[in-house]
Amino acid sequence: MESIIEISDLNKSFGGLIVTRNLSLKVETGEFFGILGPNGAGKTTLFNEMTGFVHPDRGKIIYKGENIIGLKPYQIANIGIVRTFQLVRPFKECTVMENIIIPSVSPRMKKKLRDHHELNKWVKQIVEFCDLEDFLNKEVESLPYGILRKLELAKALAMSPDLLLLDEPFSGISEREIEPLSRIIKNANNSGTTIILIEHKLREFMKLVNRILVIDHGETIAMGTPLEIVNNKVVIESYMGGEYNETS
Amino acid sequence: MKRKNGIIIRIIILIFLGLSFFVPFIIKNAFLLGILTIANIYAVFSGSWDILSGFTGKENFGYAVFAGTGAYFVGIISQSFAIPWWIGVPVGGLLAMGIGILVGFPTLRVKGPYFALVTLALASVAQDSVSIFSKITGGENGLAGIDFLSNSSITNYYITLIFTIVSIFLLFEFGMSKNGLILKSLKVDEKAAEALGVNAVRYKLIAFELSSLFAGMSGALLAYYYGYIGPDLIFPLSLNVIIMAVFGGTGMIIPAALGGYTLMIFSQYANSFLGSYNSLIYTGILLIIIMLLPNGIFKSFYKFFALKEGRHSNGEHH
Repeated sequence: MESIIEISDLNKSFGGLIVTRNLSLKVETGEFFGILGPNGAGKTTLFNEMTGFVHPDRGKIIYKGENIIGLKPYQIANIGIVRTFQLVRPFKECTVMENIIIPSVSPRMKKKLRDHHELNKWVKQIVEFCDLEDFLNKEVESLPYGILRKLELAKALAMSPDLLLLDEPFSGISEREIEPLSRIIKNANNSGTTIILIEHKLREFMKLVNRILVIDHGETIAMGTPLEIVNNKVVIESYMGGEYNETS
Repeated sequence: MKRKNGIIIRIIILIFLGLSFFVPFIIKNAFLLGILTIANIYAVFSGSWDILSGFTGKENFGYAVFAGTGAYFVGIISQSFAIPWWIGVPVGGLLAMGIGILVGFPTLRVKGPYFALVTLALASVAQDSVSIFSKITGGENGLAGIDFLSNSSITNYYITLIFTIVSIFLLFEFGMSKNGLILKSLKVDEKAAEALGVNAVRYKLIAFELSSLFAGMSGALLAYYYGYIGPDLIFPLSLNVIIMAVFGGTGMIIPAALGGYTLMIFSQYANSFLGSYNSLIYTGILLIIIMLLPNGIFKSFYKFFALKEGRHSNGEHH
């Protein structure tokens, strides 16, 4: 199999705080890859580095054979690496449909959707894929959080990403709302999108991913299949230890 | 994307447009017609402020600089030779656009309040420059001797009316297009938009260029109308244009333009009616309206009708 993204020896510190340390990672095309780690382990920072929001101090991020470090966030999105954020970030004062149109008219999608007709079809397709038909013309202020989570995913999928980075897509929603959202994410992976997932809701996380990287203090502490990870002593210690420390 | 504009609103706009063409047949008084002519130009002032600041949230506190570029270009050139308005207006607009590029390029790249601060500073630098270089600019006295738009108040009215309708139509079309939608997304959350492939700097620059182009053109047109240009006409614009756009309602072009149009008429009338209490009463009324209708008076009006119609048509579906 071919790797879609290959990160080698990535380092980043903010002042004296090291947030990424000698991190290396390879994700194969089509994989559903998971990243695990206690709060503050550097998971979101890694996403920020991969999407150009934060510039690493050292190291390489090779996407489809090219180093993408130094590219701006919008450039990275346009070559197919699309992320979501921990908190939903809908475009207020706009309807659900308008929220989906914004990524659909990006330079990346303009190449794929040549006219008005194709654009409408694409938006409709995304809306159906994410189960948002009933909310199409609603302004986002009026929507419950669970729907906004779906919209967040829909916006990212409207970019037709090759690599989708999901940052805690299940946070803040109820158990009942997790299942349908999880199904949409799984479908996206089945239809060819490589996904990297950060998530604290472990039950759902373990069901979805096929390989896991565990990081703490910005560095790799384990890598393996879900089964290997749940039986890994270092992981259990770090994960639990981290949480105990926070509460004490 | 289908527009949600209601039928009622369209009819109202068409009626007003139709009426505006008949105004010279109804109003024979040259003074009143003059007020409406200026109001036409002010509609473009506040409408073009809106395309950048109302849409992207990047407040331009130095609008006078861009309108002034067009106006002073016409004024200064006219000291040497007469330049017809149909050349002076577009060239004035292009010059203002040039200033826009110089200001926008460094300041719109950085996030935060830098753009607003720089435009604010620029306005006072420009005002000082007008005094310092008074040999060229005429200083406090301004520059007279600009060829009048025409010798007939009726022709003046029609020239500005057509200029205004075309300008506002173009700005409105841009604002309501997908480009306008992207500008709005920048106002709400620039980072989220960038994560979805939007080149934020590029879009903000485009909006700013459009805004300064129309600012420069309408500034030049104002100079031709008065046959004169001076700091008294230009520098109060920085603040006034914001008040007018906010009063009308931002982010939709037409409400902001109507804000400029109506407030211009109102302030001219207030001047002759209320005398020295003018500005006190004027700002008092403004404050009350803005407090009651924070969305702006015409935008609220639009939303009211759009909502009413929306409910109506929903009812028909069920």
